[in-house]
Amino acid sequence: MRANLRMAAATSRPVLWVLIPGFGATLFSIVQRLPLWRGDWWWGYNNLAQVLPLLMVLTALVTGWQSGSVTSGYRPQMERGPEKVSRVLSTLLGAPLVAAGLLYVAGAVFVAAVTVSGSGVIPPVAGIVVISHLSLILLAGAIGLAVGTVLPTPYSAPAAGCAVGALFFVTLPGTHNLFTLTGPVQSVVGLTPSLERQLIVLAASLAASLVLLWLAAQRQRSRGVSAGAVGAALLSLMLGSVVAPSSIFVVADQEPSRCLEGSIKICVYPGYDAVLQSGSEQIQGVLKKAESLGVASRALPNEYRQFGSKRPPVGVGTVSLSDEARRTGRLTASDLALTISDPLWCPTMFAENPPLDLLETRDLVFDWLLWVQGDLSTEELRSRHSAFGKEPEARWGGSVIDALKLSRQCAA
Amino acid sequence: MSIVSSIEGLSRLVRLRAFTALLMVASGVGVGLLESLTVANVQGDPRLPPVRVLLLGGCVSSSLLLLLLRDVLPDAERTAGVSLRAARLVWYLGVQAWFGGVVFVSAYVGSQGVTGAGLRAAAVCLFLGSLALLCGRVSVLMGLALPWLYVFTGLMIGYDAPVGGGQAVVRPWAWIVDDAVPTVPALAIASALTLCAALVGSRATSDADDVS
Repeated sequence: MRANLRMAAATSRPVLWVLIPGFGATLFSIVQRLPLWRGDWWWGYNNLAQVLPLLMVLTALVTGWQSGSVTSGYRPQMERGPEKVSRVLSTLLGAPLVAAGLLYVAGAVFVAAVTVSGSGVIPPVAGIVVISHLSLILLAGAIGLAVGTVLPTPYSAPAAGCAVGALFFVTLPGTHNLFTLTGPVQSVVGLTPSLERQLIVLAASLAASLVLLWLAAQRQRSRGVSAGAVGAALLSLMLGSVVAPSSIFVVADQEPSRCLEGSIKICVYPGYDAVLQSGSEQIQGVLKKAESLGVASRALPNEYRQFGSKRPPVGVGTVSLSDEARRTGRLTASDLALTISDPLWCPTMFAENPPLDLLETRDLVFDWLLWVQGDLSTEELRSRHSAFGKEPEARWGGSVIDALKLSRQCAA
Repeated sequence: MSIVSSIEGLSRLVRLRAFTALLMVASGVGVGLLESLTVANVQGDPRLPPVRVLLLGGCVSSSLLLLLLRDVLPDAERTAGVSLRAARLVWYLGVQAWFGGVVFVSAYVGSQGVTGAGLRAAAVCLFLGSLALLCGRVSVLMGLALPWLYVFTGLMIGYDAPVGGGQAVVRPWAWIVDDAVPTVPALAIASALTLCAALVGSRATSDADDVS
């Protein structure tokens, strides 16, 4: 055992090519938006998943390089003598796969720890997603090994890299690429990964890698068997991309569950608890100011919910979080104005193209709320909305109430 | 001496690496002709621009360039007793110029006579190729891996979220993945890297797996 380990360590200098850049990229991808996603597991995980293509390409390059080696690769090891096949394969594949896999798992554990510390929730389906993504790394390793059994080093390395690159960027017409990721730019709160898709990815990549590994485990291979096995691996990936649903995330049956009830009710998704207290106080502050300017609190919503994937009920404000609000835990002036002015009394506001007049009515309330908070000058407000143009400031409350009435009736 | 070695190198190149050279020409023509082609980004985010096939083709051709040129004068260098840097420089620049020309002409033809498209394709390929050559002086695996690493990190973590909608913005270090890659700086950096690669002494001969 110890001899095996020493052997692995001695022969795995190329594995540093997975470890060092892989570590740097993983760290960067996690830390880059950490203040934004702290507590939001899927957003954090989508940030981590950015390194997956990189880890796959590096794994393929290194396993291709190692297994194609003329001195210590697949062929010389198989021809040297009655060595166990499993031992040959594990010496070639073990170190790069473990390096890439451990890096990825460590990244996922880190994201999980940050999520939990931000009072977020990690759903059980996360385990399946991580496993299906790890199976992609196995697939990259199996491709590298398979290429190395045919081509010698150094030609095997770029050939394996090309094969993995093709997986990402070649999509057959009428199918979905199995390896598409969600992208880390925005939160997917209220959505959940499509379990069906993840299981198909897992099955297809596991089947393809096992077929390739089986092929590599054969001491005597006819051309027909080799072609058949490669064809079967390709077929399983193609089949997967035909049957897999196109959307990676689907609407979850989840309501924002963390609530704070006082004179107003505010609800957010787990992980955003930090906004509850300060957000509630800020909203009440604005409502009070509005009241003093002639817009009674009952004209504005008294319940606020973070927007997920489903439409909030009529008359409920949507808690809107800008990047700054996520960072600091306090809503900005325009967040507050959006949160209060966007009660979406009207389902038509959710249409692909909401009616322009309705939008203008909403904008009037929005700009007025900005002005209430001192974020918009009186002149600016006057110039933006003719309703405020001639009237004295004391009468503006009336125009706002009229606008709110109009939006409740879904009229312009 | 260096001329003789160069001729020896040439004969070796033609005898043993003809297939690589052929693949390189094919990839150069392919990359050039497909200059304007893009494929869907791996990240399903509509704000990220599609990936230019040129970038991926550039990675492939950089690997081929390195495989073609690594220690093109291996025996000669080992036995010469004098430095063959000048011969190496001639080789590197010559092959780069030839390959850049192939890419330029095919991109020029492929884009129906747009000089900018030709220059851009050549600049991306030569930049990645010279990166591979320079790193290949340290170790062949490093030379093979680095262009891939650069392009993939650029495509994955090289984008910043757009401010107020619109397309995502490329981070400064990932400029080669940008749509508007600055051609002249890229070509200048490529020549500088090639120069360094030719003048730096080789450690690559110690690679156990360096076979022809």
